[in-house]
Amino acid sequence: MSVTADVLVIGAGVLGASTGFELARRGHRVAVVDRGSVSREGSGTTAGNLHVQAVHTRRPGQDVPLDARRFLPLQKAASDLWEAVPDLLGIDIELVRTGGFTVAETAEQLQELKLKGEWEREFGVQTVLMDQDTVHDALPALGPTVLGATWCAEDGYANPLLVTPAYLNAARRSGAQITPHAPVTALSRDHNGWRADAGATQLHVGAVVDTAGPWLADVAALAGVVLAMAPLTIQMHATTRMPPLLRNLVQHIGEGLSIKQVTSGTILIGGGWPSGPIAAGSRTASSMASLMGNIAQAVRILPVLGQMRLLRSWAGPLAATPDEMPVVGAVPGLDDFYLAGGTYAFTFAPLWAQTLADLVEGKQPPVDLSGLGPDRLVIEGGDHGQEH
Amino acid sequence: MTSDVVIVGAGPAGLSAATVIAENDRSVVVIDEQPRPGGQYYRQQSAAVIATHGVHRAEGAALIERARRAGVQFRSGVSVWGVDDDRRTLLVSAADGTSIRRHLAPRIVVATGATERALPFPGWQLPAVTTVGYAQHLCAEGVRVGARVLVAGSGPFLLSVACSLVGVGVDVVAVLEEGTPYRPRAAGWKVAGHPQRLREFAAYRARLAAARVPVRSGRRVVSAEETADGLRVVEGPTVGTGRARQHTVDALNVGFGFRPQIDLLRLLGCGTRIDALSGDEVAVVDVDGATDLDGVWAAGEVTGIAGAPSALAEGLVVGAAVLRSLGAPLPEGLAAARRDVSRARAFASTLGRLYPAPRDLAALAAASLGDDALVCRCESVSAGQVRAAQFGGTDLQAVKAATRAGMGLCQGRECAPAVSALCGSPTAAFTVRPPLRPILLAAVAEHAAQVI
Amino acid sequence: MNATVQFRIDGYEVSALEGATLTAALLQSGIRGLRRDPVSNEFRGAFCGMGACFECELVVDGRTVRACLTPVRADMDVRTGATT
Repeated sequence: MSVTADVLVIGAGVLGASTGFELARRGHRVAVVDRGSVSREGSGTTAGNLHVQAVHTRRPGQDVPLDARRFLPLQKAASDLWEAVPDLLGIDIELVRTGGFTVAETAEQLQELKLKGEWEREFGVQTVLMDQDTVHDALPALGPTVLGATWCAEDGYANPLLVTPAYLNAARRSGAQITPHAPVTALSRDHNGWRADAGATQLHVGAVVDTAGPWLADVAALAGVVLAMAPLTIQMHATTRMPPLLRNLVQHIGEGLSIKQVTSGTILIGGGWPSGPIAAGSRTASSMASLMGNIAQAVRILPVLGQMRLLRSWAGPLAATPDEMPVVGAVPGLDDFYLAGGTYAFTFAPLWAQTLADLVEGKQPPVDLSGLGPDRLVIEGGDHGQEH
Repeated sequence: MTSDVVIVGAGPAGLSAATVIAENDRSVVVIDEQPRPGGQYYRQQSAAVIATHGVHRAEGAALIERARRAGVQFRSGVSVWGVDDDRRTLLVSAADGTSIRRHLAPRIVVATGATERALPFPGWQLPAVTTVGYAQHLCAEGVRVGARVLVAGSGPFLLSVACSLVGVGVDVVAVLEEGTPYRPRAAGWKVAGHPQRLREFAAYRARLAAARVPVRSGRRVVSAEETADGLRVVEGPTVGTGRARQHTVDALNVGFGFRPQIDLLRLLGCGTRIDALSGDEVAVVDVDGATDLDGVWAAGEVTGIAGAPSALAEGLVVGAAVLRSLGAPLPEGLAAARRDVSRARAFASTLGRLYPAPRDLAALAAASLGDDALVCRCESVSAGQVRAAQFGGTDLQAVKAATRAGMGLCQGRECAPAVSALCGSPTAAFTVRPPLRPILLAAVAEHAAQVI
Repeated sequence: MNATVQFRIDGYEVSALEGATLTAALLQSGIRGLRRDPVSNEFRGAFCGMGACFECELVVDGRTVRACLTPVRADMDVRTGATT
């Protein structure tokens, strides 16, 4: 089968879905393809947090800290865009903005909270620094080791298992064609654009958007550019359904930790703890060390969780860059080829969707992308597909 | 806690393996989730219950006694909920999810048996509907699941349970068999090659006939609902049109055969295959029961459903293989046990051909369900919601993510065959992850403080 | 030896054979609905009877357990109807 479209979006995770939707509603003919089922890998396994206050800088096992200050204007812009997402998609995506705490347990971590508060003020993100008494009054369930926290009323979360399908449905309603189980195996220049083999379909498109998540670099390699990226895996933990007991997102400034109770009543515990080697189709093995480490930490911060029952864990991939920063922009040396990915992709989804759509249209993107482009990841002299 | 061998599962396979290993002077610990050894087939009652109602399956009690005398250490009432990252240390909790212990053994035998296959129909979640296996456990304790009971589903086990029910004075209104296994046909003649099993089978039928319990083939449960008078069950033909009947009973007991309980093998990282007739995952083992993982064996129903006689013999074969790896001489009876395994497996496969394939039963159950009927009991997911999962396709995990089917307390053990049939998945197996049983977070945190 | 023990179901004194399966004792007291399903709020009861389905969960002495794996003990305090 042969298909002609304006834009081919490769990868039907949250970035591909939101970008496909954004392009389709702007009137472009869009094809979204995925190597497997949609929303299946990183986007189907993410915690679904909307991070507005500055994030902690290292996952467990992470070597290079990310630049939390550089993140802030991006988080602010994404947060503003998320406000409109439920209306745009027209369904309940279980989006809540009930605020979040980032806790500290040491004097050093309290200093970090102060420093991040300065950055937050600089970029217009509203947070409140709470001392020990104030934070324990605000959230009495916190354990005695918590010495202080910052509070951000705009922190929140949405259900990732609803968000990506909702974006895809909305994209489809706007005319986009969604094709799961169509892995892209070849990409080549084709007079005014690109030719792609995706499963049984041959596509002729004006532009390519690579949102393949953990396989972002593999797709770029098909087009002849080698990027220094390697996927990681992280895992999540979930309790049985509980009556409402935690309204807010709870994170940690010095450790990978996020705790929240979602609409179903389940308490989700994560924080970027590593799991086994990446395997597609939900086959990445869970790590028992991470399970124990993450749970122990969660029970320390919120001792009430000790009486809850762990029911499930799951693992999924994360597209990671060597500097731990997102990657978004045009790929140098390739015409009409754009990509976005990297950490915190769920939070950034509406922002990267707008950014990619603007880049495709040759417009100025909504945020300053300096330092975030793929150029910093290009391995010079890397041959077509060599690393893979 | 350490020993030469740890065996998970104290049913026929685990008991048999443990006994032969212990009788050859190697140390064995048997971990089991039930309060007493015996598994489901040799389920044993408490002393007080035995004093009142007698011993259930005395040969099981004798086997357990023999194992104890040989020095087998039983750890009953505990659950293996996970495996540490060394893929060797078993993490064990009390049945209520408290207090974690570690069991490390250089040799592991997985004999975790099977669970009953459940298939949905409108009303299957009502408290008066139970599996046939549970109804039989109650009989063994002298308790009737109800005064008036309907038995339905498919497979020879329905007859055995109906007889047990009759034995404790239950009025069994009928046994409904979805297939038509009791008509003479080519496959039936092969069963004649197993006279002892055939006699057992004939005895069930004679007993039901004597008690005037009708066994109706080609009939199935259409729906069940609670009324003021009891559970109202509608039965109808399996295929085509035929007369519907209505029963008012105290309980409906359903069964559609058994599924290997392979989740521990998966956590250990052992190879599995998908059984074409059922879509279920089955352990891959060699003739000695060795998995593809060094030091891990599997015995009994986890290697494919073949019943207790096969499990007993497989336990001995695996026990011998474990002994060989420990440098012990080969036990007596090994050659006979190998013959018993192949005979039992041949019988199981012949018998299986008399009944509808599990995948066909699941497909029929799925196709018969209205959109409102529950498929996933734990998360209250309806057939309609699974059908509407737009982007799931035939990918069972994607359908789970889209609908929450399989995310609840049972972790998809009950709904997997039906969800898989509804979405056309080639496998009826959800991804297996820890914890295999819910575990108290405080217990995990406490354990982490000790080991990390 | 007195094989019968006393215990409480939802505050009522009952007796059963020591070590009997709790679901069996509950059934003899006429109780089939054991837990409430958190989504539908419907009552559920023992289904598989072997610890796989979790439909028979209830609270014994303050802990959530599967009744089908729980032997009856003297003086145990059993609470049905919990949402688990």
